[in-house]
Amino acid sequence: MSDVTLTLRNLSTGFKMGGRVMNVVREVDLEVRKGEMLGLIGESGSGKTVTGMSILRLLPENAVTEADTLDFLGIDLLKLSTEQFREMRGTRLAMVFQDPVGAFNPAKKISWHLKQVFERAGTKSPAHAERAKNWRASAIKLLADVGIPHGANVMRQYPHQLSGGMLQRTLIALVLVFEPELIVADEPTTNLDNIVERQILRLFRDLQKRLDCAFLYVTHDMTIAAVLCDRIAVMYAGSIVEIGPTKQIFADPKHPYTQGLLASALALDTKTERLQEIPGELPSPGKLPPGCLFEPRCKFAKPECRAKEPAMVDVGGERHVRCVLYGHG
Amino acid sequence: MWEESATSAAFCMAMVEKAAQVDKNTPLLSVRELLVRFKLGDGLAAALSRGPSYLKAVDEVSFDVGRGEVLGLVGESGSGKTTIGKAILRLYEPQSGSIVVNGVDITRMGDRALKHYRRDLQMVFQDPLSSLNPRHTVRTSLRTPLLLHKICPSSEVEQRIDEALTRAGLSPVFKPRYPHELSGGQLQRVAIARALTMSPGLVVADEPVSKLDVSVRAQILNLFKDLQAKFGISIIFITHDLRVARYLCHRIGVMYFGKLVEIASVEELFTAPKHPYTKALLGTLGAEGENLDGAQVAGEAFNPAADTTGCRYYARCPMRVDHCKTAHPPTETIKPGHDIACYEWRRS
Repeated sequence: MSDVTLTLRNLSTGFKMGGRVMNVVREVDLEVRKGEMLGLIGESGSGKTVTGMSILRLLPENAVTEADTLDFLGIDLLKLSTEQFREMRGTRLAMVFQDPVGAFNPAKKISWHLKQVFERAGTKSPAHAERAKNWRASAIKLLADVGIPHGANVMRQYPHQLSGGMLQRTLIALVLVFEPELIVADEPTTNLDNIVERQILRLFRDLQKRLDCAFLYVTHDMTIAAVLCDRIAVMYAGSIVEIGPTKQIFADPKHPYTQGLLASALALDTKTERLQEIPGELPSPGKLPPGCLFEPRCKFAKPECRAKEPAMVDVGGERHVRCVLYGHG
Repeated sequence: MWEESATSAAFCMAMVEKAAQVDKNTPLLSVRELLVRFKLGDGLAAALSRGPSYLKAVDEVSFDVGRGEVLGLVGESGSGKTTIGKAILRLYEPQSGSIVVNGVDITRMGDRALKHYRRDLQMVFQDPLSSLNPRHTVRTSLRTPLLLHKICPSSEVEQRIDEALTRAGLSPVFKPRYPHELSGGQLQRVAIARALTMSPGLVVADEPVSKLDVSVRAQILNLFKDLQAKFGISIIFITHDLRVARYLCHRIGVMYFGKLVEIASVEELFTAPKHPYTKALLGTLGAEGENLDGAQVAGEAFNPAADTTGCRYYARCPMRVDHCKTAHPPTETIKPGHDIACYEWRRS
């Protein structure tokens, strides 16, 4: 298919620890399509951030990433050298981080950050070079695009003088300079307040409509995914357990974990007397249970669940579930 | 395994007796015009200007917490809700105002006298990993306050620890473990157990679920609800999440940059909010379907260090008028139990 921006097949990422590799992401298959916002949902420790980082090769040296396919618009990302990849990262594949404060140099003004990026972009194409020459005007226009009307003032300030929401907007502006084809956003609103969070979500939705790029939106918050994402992939303990269009998943979650997650997330939206719990906790990567990883917490668990990890089952309508309740694939 | 035993009954009796000592009608906690400020900048700029400048983190806030009541304090980060919690426990020194617990003013009480009240006021912090000593086992963390406050004879300490852990939904097998061996949810249970060993009258819970995962969050919220129902503890529940507050609290106070702008019962606040900020916050709720266009709040937030005159919400308020600029509105009671600080609430 030509409209697929990113294809992952059988991606596993682990960390070397005392001579052995501890896998935290296991056999992930994903496609992110052009113009689509794919939500990667999971709790902390589920491997969602590591999946995003693996794509962008942002993990520390003791990380081991393996995959059958890691294809970005026809380019095999696995075959690229470190230098070749560095050329791509930030220009064609970009990331928006959770903590905008940490993404800026605290000793430099906002204008310095924008100038750096415009100058780097200027070496890419004549059109970019033109913008780099007038980088100040281009920057102000770009800041206006991300909802900062008085860009000239903001550029004179240091990162600590801006609020979290303003910094996140500025960071998004920096990412947009290169017009990347894939943007990985890792919990970009987690550190923000409710009202500002809504504003940034609105910005993401506008960008998705305006730009022709693919988004991989990593979050733990089901309610965010509900308003933002076209499709959702639910991760549990390093594996994708369910993937499908957002509306269908919300209307009819298949995997028991997705059901529990949705129930806990949405229960608070109405006045309830008692919240539904998912008993137990996420297994640690060193001590994974045999068979289905969710079996110890699952209310539908049967003996066969412990035998082997279930395969992804196609349940129709572009939906896939990793659970024996829906067959054996 | 430990079983529900006579000590548990004794614990309940102690709680009941304590509650009976004072008049039922006086609130457990009464906070009046509490002001907590922090000095800003000791640098050259401060030395050159006329004097040090201050940030009023909590600015003349008044409220009561009744017996067995759960009061929610909601607001954005920086609104002063955590500072209030810490000031009530005298972890910050208030500049002025008063904190009255069971009819006794503890605002200026010395350390020695305060020790008695500290036991009655416990706190559960946001980050359980940093609120427990990493080099102490769960047993040591729970034992220290028991010995310090001489809660029970040392022969009974182990039993009290088992009891508290079980009550917080954790098996006593965790006693010899260190904090790094426990998950976030388990650590928060230890922190709750530690607060419970003191049989407190009031627990200040500061965002106790915001660092927990969605599936574990429900477990801890239910635990708070059960403990509150069972032992009738009063709780000040600090959260940025209005939905969490609705689930757990009887009354909710909304904070905005150091000011309490509205306080009402949960039903009243959710069905008939009056303050424009409360309305904006409520507008951010709503899951699927309700789109992102709900609460549109204009641009810049209040700058707490620079602006000191006028209503704190002026810059973002959709219904501001000129006189809102002159001074922050006084708190008025518009209905029994429903207080609001806004000049223009009638228009809403």
